[in-house]
Amino acid sequence: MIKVKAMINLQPLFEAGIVPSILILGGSLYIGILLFMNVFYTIIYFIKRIVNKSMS
Amino acid sequence: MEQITKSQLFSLMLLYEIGSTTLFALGIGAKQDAWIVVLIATFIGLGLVWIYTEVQKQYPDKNLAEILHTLLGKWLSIPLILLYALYFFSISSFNYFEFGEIIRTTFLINTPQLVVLGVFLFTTIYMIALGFEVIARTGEIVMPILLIFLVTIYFLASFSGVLDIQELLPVLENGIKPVLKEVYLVVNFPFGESVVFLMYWHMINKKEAVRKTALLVVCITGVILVLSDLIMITILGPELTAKSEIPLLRVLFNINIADIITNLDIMGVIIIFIGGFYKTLLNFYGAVLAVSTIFKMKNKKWITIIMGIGLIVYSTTYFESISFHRWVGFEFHATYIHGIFSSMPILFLLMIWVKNKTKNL
Repeated sequence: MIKVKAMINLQPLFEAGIVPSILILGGSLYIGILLFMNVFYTIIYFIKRIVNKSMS
Repeated sequence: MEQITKSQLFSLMLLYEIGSTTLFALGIGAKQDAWIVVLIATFIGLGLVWIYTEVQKQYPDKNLAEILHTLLGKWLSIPLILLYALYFFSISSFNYFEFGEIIRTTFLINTPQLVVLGVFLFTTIYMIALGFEVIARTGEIVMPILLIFLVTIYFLASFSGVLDIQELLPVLENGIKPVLKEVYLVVNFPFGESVVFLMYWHMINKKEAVRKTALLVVCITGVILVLSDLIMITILGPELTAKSEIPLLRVLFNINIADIITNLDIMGVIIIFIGGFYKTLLNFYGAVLAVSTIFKMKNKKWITIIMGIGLIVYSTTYFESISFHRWVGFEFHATYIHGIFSSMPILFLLMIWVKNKTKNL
């Protein structure tokens, strides 16, 4: 029999209640967004620098 | 705009950091090495607070909500500010319930919890209605009282003859691993919680004093917490300290100098009252400020009353018991929620740096 193990176990969150759940899920989502934005801005910074160097 | 002085900020920050933390033995998971945990966490806390003050330095006249608005734009910032408001509200509900429950179970046994919490809430709303300057001025008056009582407790405890230095030995019995495991929790609580001061730092009249004051507070808090751990462990022993719900009260019951100086629990009540009150107040006001900044409310009276009613309803219905409060507090708040929200400013700072650099190109 194949056992499927869930990667995300939401049971503890249900036990903890709605506010900790919102904070953990929302906070994690925002950490992801902020990380993505940081990477995005860094890439833009390097592209701008390369373009500026090649233009001058 | 409301303005506070350097010493008022110092008092408020110290009240907030010490607050309810001296009631518990922080880092007790590492047993007799809890004081090493606090010492290491203080150094990391210094770095964390440096990051918070650096974010504030980039926007000296803005609070956290306004900083996020400028940094992330309207649509990305509003949900995040609401999350921060919920986070501050959630911490204040923890302190609020904790305070009410401790007072009810230890000192006002026959008083209904709602009465204790109601009086407490009324005072909180009244102080917020008077404004932040009043909160800061009262903090300045009250902080020395808290410090004097704490130092007196430590002083009397050292001379009560129940102190056993041997309890601290052997140092690092199980190696450094259990110590490092606990450091994360102590960094988050209480040092990571000081992220709420990003809502207040813009109100100080001398902006350049923010970092110095904040770092000084972290150092003093570290020293007090180390002392507190040492006293608790040497008097109660690591096992009993870990098991007792409020180790500070147990320490107080143990103090007996020649049968003359006894029953010092009144000092415990004052510490619980002052610390719990300011911690609840500052977190609750942080939540009110965040919400009122989003909705551009000039008059905060109604939002304070509505959120105040929300606080009492939430605290009394959500927390079933003090053991549930501790379970959610340590398993979720200290481990994940504080970790997420106190580390987010690191990402804000990175974003500010990269944005500034891209602009200059």
